[in-house]
Amino acid sequence: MNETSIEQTENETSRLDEPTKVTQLPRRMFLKLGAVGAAAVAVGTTSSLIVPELRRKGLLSANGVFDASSQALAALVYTEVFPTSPLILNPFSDPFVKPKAASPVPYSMWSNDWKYKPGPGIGQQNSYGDTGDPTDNNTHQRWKGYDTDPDIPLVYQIKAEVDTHSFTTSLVLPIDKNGRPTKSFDASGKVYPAGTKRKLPDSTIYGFNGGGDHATFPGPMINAEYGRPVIVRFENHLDENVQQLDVQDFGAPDRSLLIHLHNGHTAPESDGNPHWSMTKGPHHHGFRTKDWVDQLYLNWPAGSDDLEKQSFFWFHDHRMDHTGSNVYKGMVGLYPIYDPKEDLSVGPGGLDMGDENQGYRLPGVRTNNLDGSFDVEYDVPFALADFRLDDGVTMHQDIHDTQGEFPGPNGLDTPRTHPEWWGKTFYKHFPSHGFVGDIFTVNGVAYPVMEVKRRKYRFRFLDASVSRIYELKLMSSSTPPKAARDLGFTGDDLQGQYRLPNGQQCMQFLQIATDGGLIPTPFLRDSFELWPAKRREFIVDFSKYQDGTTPDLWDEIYLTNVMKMPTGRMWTNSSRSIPDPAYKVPMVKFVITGDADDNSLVPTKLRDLPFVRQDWQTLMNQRSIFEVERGALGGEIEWLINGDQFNPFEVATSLRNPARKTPLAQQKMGSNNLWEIRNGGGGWVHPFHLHMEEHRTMMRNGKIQPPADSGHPDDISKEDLVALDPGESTIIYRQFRDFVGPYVAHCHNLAHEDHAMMFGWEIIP
Amino acid sequence: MDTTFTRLDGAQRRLSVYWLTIAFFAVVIAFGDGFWVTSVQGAVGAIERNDPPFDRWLRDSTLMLPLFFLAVLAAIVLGRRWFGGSRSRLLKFGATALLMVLFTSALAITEVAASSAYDYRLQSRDLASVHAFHQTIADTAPGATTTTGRCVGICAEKQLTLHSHMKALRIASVVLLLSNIVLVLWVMALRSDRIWRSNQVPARAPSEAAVGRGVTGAVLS
Repeated sequence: MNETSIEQTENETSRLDEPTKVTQLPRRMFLKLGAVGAAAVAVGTTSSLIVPELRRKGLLSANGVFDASSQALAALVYTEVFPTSPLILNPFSDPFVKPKAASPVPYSMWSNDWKYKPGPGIGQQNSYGDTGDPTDNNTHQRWKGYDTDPDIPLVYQIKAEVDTHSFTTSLVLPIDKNGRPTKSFDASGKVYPAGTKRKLPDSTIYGFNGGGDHATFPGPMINAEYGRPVIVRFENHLDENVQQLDVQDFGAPDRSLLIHLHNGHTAPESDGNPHWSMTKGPHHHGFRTKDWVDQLYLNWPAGSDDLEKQSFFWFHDHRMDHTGSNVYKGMVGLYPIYDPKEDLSVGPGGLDMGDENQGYRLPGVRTNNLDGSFDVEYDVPFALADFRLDDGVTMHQDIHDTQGEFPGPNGLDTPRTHPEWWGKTFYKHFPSHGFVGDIFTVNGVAYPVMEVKRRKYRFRFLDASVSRIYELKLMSSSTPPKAARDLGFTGDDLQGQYRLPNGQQCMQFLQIATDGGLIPTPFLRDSFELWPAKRREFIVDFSKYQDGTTPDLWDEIYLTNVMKMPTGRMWTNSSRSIPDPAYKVPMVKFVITGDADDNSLVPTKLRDLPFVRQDWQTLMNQRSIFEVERGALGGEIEWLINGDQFNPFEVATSLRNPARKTPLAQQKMGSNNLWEIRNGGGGWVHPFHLHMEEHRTMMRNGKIQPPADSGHPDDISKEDLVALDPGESTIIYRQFRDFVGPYVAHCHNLAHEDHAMMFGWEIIP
Repeated sequence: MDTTFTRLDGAQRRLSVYWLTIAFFAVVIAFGDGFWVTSVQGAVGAIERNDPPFDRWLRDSTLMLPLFFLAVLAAIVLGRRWFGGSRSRLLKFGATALLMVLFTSALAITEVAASSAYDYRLQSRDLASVHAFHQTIADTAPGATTTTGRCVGICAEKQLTLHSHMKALRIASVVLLLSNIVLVLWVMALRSDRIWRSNQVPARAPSEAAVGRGVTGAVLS
């Protein structure tokens, strides 16, 4: 009997059927049509609601759908609760802090008084000295760069110390995630009722002290010059804590540190990377308390090629597994580098020596100090960092609670909440997405005000945040900033605390440099993205608005962040994806206070790019391939490269390349190669940083550059960090010159780096 | 081949079911549940199983298909046996749908549990090697009190990993139940007229009774 006849029989006789045939078919048809219709509606809804979201996150693929689902589940499994920082009631009242140049240690002092003098001898590079084991590498690999180098470098002494830092002098109003006033606490256990305005307690920092009274955040700024080597003696005094400060539950638990000059052309022993420190030198994650290390920065361009010169470094902690917490805790310093070399085809005097009357005539008025340092007026660094302050009731759920690393007062249990830390910095070591704060600071101050003259300035931007990416615009507004909570925002929309509801772009940035230094042709930008660890330099002309009019005295202009990034995964809104016209967070207020002479010029041509071998495409088949992706291993190992966690004792292996080989990440000194860096998906962005020399992005997503990808206009320059959108792939050209030894490459979302998204590579003789 | 088809046809008649309907149910539920199993693995699984999720979903769901087929078959057969005599159509279909949801969800939850157990085993093994260079428990912070006697270090991480899996399993169980309700009702709406074969009551009754007693062979002969 075939199916039809069975059905007929069934329809006639089955007890399952309805009594009359008249209604039977229509109802079944109705059910079927309903089911098909429901499926169609589900597909349609999915297409209209979910597909755009998946596309935006780079998850619109067969694997991407699973990744998106896994992410959603992971968010439910791993509880991630963050406090809402108290509202700063008087923003834009604290003055902007421009760090002054640090002073070097007088030669007479270190050469006479220091027990362990800096020098090129065996075992002179760090406190471990001559161990008799040549592989320990406690000696400077190279003492001189240029033939013209002075034999004696400038010596700086920087002590890492436990100290305090204040983000604001303003009163604050404790608020909850809905923006409503809430209770607060103090160190003695006293509870303050909701609505009580409070003064913020100072936060505890692990900061750098460059010779002053105390450590600061950010730490000292070393104004360096090419051709003038610098030794920085980093000393670890984090065990001293003379003020008996509560160091809270983040920062390397053993208080070791490892300092990386990002991205100086330095030998491995001075580079501060864990592939070196675990295999040589301290044979540990970093330098322990009471240790010191002399990091020699030759201020020497790669391959002695002037075109490789850079312009803005920063130094920060790189201690394995705790870089994020150590940086967040304050171990950040600035290192602009100038170029005094003359090129008469450009003009008389040093090309870029902080003097607007010489060379490229970039904004800057230089003052040479008696101690050998110099300061440059109108040349201003902006170190951006976001923080969260403890509300006293949010759980400190963290995998490190299980390690016994931060015991509570009774020495046994790690307390889950810390009312005694109310108002101090809050950190979560293991957020699934990364860590973003809700208070935005510049040079350690929340919402500062900077007085400017009607003239050109050189602004050097650095993103020193753990995970946050910014997109910055210059805006003016007919009304002052308003607290986000007063505009009805709640939850993640409170991040940044303030909004500029009527903000309109009023000026443009003239970009003159990226991570890799001055670019060949400056170009105007309405806004720019700043990813973690990236640097961007601009000329901002406060003598005229973009419509050509002249600002009046006391006009106010705001540096405004327009990129909404509620988690460390990626932005939800930005100019190049889905703009949110309501998200305009003012970070710095500029006030026009007068006029000043301005001898600087608007440059049309700066430094050419270094040579790339013409036949670089012949290297394509032999390229090394590294894919960054998300993994899982109960917490510590969350992020992988080529499917592996970071192993500091090994050099990584490439994925199989088109030549069907899996080469080691090992390059001969003097060689060059193509490396492919892929974002393995999952809807995350990754700022991927490669130590040592700058690279050039030759291809992005299969397209040869230039022209640069519209989302990454900085691809036209040399850089030390590849900005990878979800699912993107880049092919970069790298050179390996001047030094041998172990280096690393890693994601600079520090939550990713600390959870194994890093690999070791090396240069061999 | 003919013999095989004949046997299948015979079994179909004995069980009074439509293979096609059962297969339809099994495919939809196996691949639907497979999506969640794969997602859970992606959320809390071990890095050794970090292969492309789409491939993993196809492979695992296909491998699980026979078990889902049996689960659906069991639900339909038992549904007919237990509720077939009811005059209430809602009870018949509803109870059968419920059985199907329960059986297939139990199977999927078992699959998640087995997958998590395997992941946990891999992760526990890896934790030791990870600890060799990622942890600093030996480097006690200056001034910190010793924490002897407590579950710290690898022990604590294993515990944490296990808790993650347990939590994921709880969440997955709810998600699987809900999604199976939707899938079963959807397929039922499409195939409600093809769930049970016609029942020539007088002729089929012994057969049903035989199946119910598990003496299929006797009836066949």
